[in-house]
Amino acid sequence: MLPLSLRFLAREWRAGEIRVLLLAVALAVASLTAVAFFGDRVKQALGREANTLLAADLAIASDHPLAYDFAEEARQRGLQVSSSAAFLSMAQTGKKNLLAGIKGVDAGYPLRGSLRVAPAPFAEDAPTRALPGPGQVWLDSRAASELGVRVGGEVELGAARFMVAAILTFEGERGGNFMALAPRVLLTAADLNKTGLVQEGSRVSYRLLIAGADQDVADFRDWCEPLLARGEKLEDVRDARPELRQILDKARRYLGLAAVLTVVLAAAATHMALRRYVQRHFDQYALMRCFGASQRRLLSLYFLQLAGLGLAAGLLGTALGWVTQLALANLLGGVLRLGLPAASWQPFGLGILAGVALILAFALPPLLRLARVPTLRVLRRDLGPVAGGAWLAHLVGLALVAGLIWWQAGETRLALIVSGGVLGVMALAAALIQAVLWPLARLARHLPPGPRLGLLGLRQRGWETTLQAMALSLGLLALLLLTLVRGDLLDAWRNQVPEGAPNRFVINIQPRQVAPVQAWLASHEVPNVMLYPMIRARLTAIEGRAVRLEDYPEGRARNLAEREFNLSELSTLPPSNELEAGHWWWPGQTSGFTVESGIAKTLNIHLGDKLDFDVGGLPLSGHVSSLRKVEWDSFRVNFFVATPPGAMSAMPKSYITSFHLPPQRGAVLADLVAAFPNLTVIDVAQMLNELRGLTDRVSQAVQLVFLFSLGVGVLVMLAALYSRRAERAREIGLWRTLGASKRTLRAALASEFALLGLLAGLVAAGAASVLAWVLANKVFDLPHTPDPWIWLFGLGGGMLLVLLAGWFATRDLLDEPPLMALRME
Amino acid sequence: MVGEAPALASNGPLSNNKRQKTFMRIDIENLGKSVQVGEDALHILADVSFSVNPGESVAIVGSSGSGKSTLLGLIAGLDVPSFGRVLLDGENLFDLDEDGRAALRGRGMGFVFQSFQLLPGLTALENVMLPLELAGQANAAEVARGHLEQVGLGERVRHRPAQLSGGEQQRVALARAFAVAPRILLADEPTGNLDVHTGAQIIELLFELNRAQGATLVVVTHDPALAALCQRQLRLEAGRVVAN
Repeated sequence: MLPLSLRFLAREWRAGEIRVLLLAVALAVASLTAVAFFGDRVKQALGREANTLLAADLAIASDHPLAYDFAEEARQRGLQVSSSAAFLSMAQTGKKNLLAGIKGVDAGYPLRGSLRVAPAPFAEDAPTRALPGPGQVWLDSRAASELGVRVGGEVELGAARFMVAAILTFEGERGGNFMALAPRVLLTAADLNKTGLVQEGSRVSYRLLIAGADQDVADFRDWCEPLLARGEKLEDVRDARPELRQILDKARRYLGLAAVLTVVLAAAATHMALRRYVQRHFDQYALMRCFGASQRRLLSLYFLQLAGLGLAAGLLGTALGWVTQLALANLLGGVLRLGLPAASWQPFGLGILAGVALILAFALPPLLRLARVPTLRVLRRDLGPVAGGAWLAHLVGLALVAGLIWWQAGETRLALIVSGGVLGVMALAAALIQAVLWPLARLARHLPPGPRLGLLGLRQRGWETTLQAMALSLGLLALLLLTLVRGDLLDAWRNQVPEGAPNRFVINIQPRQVAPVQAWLASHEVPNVMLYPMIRARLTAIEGRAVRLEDYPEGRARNLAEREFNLSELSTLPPSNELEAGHWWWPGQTSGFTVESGIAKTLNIHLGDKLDFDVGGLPLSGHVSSLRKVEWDSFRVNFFVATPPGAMSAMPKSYITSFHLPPQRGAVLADLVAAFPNLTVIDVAQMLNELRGLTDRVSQAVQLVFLFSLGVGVLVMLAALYSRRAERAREIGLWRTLGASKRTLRAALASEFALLGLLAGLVAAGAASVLAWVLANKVFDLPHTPDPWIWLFGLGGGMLLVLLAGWFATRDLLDEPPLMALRME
Repeated sequence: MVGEAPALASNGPLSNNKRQKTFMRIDIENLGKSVQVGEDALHILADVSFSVNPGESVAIVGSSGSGKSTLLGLIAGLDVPSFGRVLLDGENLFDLDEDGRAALRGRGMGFVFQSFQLLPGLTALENVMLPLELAGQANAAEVARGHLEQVGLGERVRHRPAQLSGGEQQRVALARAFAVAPRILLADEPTGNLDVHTGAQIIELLFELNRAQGATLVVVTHDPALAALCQRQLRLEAGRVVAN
């Protein structure tokens, strides 16, 4: 059976019968794998980029020196290893002391990304691969200013003295939550030992840093996970930097969406091509039945042929996809400013599997249709397959495609939404054809001959027209949906770190300095800054129950329960805050709390709970009257807990403010500190730049994948229109034989394609609007702005695209001599 | 375009065919076929009975719509009757299921069609090979080539149907029909799509091959010249045999 089917396949290939099918499926697979390959590489690159902010690919964090020698194992596996140990301790100069975050690092730190240093606070900085030398430390500008020490000065840490060698301006590991972190002092691990600060019982947070090839890191992760003891945990960038995780997750989802929609396009193209293939085999099937082949034998023969074809298409498509992404990466690597790592092998498997699955999924129903072709067709060519449901086969096909979608989506919700959308579009397209096209065709006799022929042709082909409209609608849906979601995504990223976002924070402003500082800033072209009071307090009881550490086994909750809060007084809900439960202050309300919903959840605080704080020995209590959702990555001044204005008027407090200062005006800060020596300035410009750089790159990657999918969508639609070429040629030949002029035929084709495009555009625009909204809300968690232009794009673009593609697919047929066309099979 | 009908080689592959050949007898008993058209039943064939002796050649003639092709389709087991039987060597064709009938066709029937029914994507040789390959014959290409030489197309084995004239296409179809060494040859208007001259050549070739090969021959035709060459003529009118 196999040799015979291979022989038949070879014959069909020579005859050119299956080339269109092979090409359609190979193209579909190529698009799928190109997106997969490219997406995979971009994802890896972005992951690596993000890892610079973790300083590694993987970290093992612990609150004690690691019991097991993970580092040795990692080195033996060829991975890069470094480590850090950080804790809070006093740093001293002759005059001042400061509770600082001391961090000792090993050679090679950071394994990903680099530190940046400057010769003086607020001076221009540069990346460095070096670490502080023996007897040296690097301070961040906050530590330097609070200790009142300059580069070249001395700092005392425990039992040792160190020379300040540079100002540390960027340290990827610190993340966005800088307010929680103490001023930084960085030195080498060897020097850290000299301080004698790390002793039995010291609260030190250790991190073993690992970097290497993705697979090696993943293997290492799998290996060490079961060996971790209590208080040891694995961290990758997702755990360590939630704000980056959000960006990467959204990018990953977008790539997933592009891949899923490519699957849908591929499915539509394969379906069109296979229908045509099977129709062209009605005669062959009947003839072979007539020659005595059993139904089972013939179906097996076709099945094997198609499976072989699927394999060939899978291989060809995967190769094509690989070359395409290679070209794409070469072309765009520079634009992306990302070193793209080599593609993984997974897309190869995906491509080959997709080729076979696509063909088999769509071959099954028409193959069973073939089985219904009566053998009598050899005598009566008008006999087609006996009508009847191949429901099971259709279901199997749909299930296969659904499986492919689910696999590509990477998450059930996205897969379900897209699948639902696709089914909806198909139903809508079919319904619209019934509701619009058929009645319209009834009016055809009032039209000039060209459009009349076009309309009647559409109606005459009935189910074929419906199918074509479905395929075109799906193609357009993919294009429009990717456009809409891309828009939402880019807007969100642009807004995440908006131009002019606050990049300097000033703290320690004393109550009597509020007006002078405001005036000083205004006179230095930094107008309208808001100053918020900040009161340090410790949470002592919730609903009358004392807050005890042992009640919170989870690390984050423990940290929060233990540390001091910065309370504030707020009169209005600040920007980047959103009320989630309860109400904002009643007029005249003087007690109560508004609590950030994340911390409320962690510490198990509910609306209406009574909270007790200890503010430097003074009690402060009240009930929680609202819960707020805070965008922590907005880089504004935000507070976990706040009271109404006046509730803490008797408490000792200082003020905090934030503002945006263009990089070239950094010197203003030095002047500010000179004018008000007690102020502390925190500079987050570099961190913002890093984050903005990341979103920029992710945006570019998303744009590219979008453009690529767009191109593939157009190609696939073209393939769908090409699949009816032979019938079209015969039709045109017949019309021309019956005396239709080229002009009439051109008008007929134009009106047919325009109408199909218009209809498909209408369905696609409607569906894309709804789906974009659903995706933004349910999958991407993005604010969605409805885009009325999508209707113009859908209708106008759909019409234009189908017209163009149709013209391209039929342009030479009008010039064929009618006899040739009539003889075309 | 159309060459002379070639003389048959006496020691061609037909004589090499090892299959045990016997002529086949056909008995048609009270055969009828009706289809439902709206409320009414349309009787295409009504109570047709006749027999064809082994090795005999019979022409079925009649006007268009008289039921000739339906009758041929039933004899081939391509369709099922509303009532009646078709016996091949005494075995009722319709006691077999669809696959059983197909197997029987594969073992002993050759077909020639009005519209040639060559597959457009295949060469002349591949078209003739098709039924041999389906029957699992090992030297299909060799046998097919021999039969194409028999019909004078030895030089054109690599040509596709579109590159052949109508007469040549029907000759390929004849080679295909005789390649399987049929015991019954069923021909549906074999000259219907050909001009008179080419038709005559095809008729001559058909009978020559049939004589050399020996098969029970049933031909549906409008062509009086073709009908006259058969040993017996059966006239159908409105689904009934009016002359035998």
